[in-house]
Amino acid sequence: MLDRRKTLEFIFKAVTNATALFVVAIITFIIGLVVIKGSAHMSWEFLTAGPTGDMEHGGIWPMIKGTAMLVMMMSMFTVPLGAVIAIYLNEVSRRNWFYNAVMSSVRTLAAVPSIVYGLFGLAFFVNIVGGTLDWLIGYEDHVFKVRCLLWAAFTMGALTLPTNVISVTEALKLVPEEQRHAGICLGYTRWEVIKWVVLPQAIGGMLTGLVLSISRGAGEVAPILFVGVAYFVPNFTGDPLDQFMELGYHIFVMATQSPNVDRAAPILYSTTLVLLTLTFTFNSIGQILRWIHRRRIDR
Amino acid sequence: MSEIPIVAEETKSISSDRMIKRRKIEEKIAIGALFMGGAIAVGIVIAIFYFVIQESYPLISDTDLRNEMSLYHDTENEEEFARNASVFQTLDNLLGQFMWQPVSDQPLFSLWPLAAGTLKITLVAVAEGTVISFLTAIAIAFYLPRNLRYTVKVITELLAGIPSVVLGFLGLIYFATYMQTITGTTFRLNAFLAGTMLSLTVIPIMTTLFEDIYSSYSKEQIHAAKCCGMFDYQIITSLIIPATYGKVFAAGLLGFGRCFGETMIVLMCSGNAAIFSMDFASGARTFAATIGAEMGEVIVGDTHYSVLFLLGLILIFATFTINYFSQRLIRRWTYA
Repeated sequence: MLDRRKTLEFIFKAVTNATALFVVAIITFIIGLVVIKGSAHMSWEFLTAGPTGDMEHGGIWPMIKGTAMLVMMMSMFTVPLGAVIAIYLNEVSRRNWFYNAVMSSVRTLAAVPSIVYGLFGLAFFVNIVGGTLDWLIGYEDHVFKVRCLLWAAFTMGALTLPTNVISVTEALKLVPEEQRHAGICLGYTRWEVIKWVVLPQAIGGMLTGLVLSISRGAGEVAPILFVGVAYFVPNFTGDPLDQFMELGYHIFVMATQSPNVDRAAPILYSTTLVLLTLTFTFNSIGQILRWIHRRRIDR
Repeated sequence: MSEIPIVAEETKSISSDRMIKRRKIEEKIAIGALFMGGAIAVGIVIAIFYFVIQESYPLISDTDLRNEMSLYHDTENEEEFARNASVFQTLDNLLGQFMWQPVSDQPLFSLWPLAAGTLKITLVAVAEGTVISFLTAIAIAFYLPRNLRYTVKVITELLAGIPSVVLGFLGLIYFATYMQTITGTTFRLNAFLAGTMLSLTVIPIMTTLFEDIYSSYSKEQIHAAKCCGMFDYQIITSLIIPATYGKVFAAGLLGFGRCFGETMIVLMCSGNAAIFSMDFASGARTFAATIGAEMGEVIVGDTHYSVLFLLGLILIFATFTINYFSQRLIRRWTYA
């Protein structure tokens, strides 16, 4: 009896531990594969030069630039809005129907599949907002009603909004309630409590949200597939109303539609390494920031 | 010491009438702005719903689109027939046949092959993801040496930081060949490969959820059971699994919702063949991947364009239903 139980216990332990090790091994393998295969082609020139000759040679500077522009414009829109929504939910709103509506909207935004954001960006930002702006300035040809960097950034901003709201909310929850009460006792209005007591302590949360949403925004491709990203934009100047190249999309399009995938593979591994480094760096900075912030408040 | 007069001055100025008025106005503006922020969040959600519905609505409201969708054309009374094209012509095309051929003389937009593909790939991903995450979570909660537990947890969460396009790329370029040698399938890219790669995206989420569920289980009961001489596996099988299977089911449902809308991995690894079969070794095509693959080339306002938005609508409602039920289940099992 005891023997059977011991055997079963051993089997359980072996199977679960093996699975955990298997998961760790797979992750290590994936990262190691990208690092080893990607570093073969990595050089300073690869990072700073434009692509040449059928996209199978040269560098990836335009894609890095496009990704950076996209991410910057996205965070300019999404970080303040996320902070405002989080502050509204936590500090201002009474628990009424509107609070519930905003709360469930944020939850909904987090649950909507990323490709649907692409549909939304195309139907709303490109066609409706762009169309309206065109109509307002009265041009014959389309200026704003084009698939471009600006609308891609807005679409990505809507996608990363929940990330920001959640980060700032976490930071706000860590501000002690007594400090708010003290502020009110000193005669502060609600806004002054927010401005002088809550906001300075929530800056860390906003920073975390910024970094995490950059990591997310750099990695997502599905929402911008048809809202502005392009296969090849030879001289991208950084104009927001222009199509752009992006790291993730470049990987996707070269891997699926390149005439000769085997010849393009080394460059693709290197591009993947750049993308992975980018998202991992920002992700881990975000986690470290979050950790530091929590510790500081705990003291 | 020099600060005291400044404080006194400020106190005086704060209490003056003009100052109070200014502060009140500032308060109103600021609170209003914060309220607007909340309203924008609600607005975005409403706009997503509205525009996805608006762009797919012409399929049933517009006679031209209905006629284009029609599978039958009366060549003698062409105009008469076109004017009377009914909603059933659209529905017949969507549900009454089994082919997805959007670009042809007679465009065919059957939803069935896509539904079958989505189901296939998601089932593979959720099944693999649930089993692996379940075992990993148990290992983290019970069996791994204590100094390894945290490391394994952090490494598992690292997987969530890998962009899906990278997983898709590796699946397409690297893993597909090995998978084909192991499983011996005819097609290099198939539903099983896509599901396996997709399961990598749910493993970190599910492992965290399961681990939370197990570590929040009452410590006293575990200790009591141990004092009675129960082995760890007995505690797991006779105490923890019966007490938490509802939550585990809910977590699985949540992973299902996540897999449902994933685009890039499926687009790159599944072979994108819109065939109506439940054979896991053949190619498959999901709702999300179809939108991603075809939206770039359609003409705005076309039948194809509207059908793709209809697919988006299906995606939204499916994820909502799944999420709603899983949230409800989690809540019920938390309070019970």
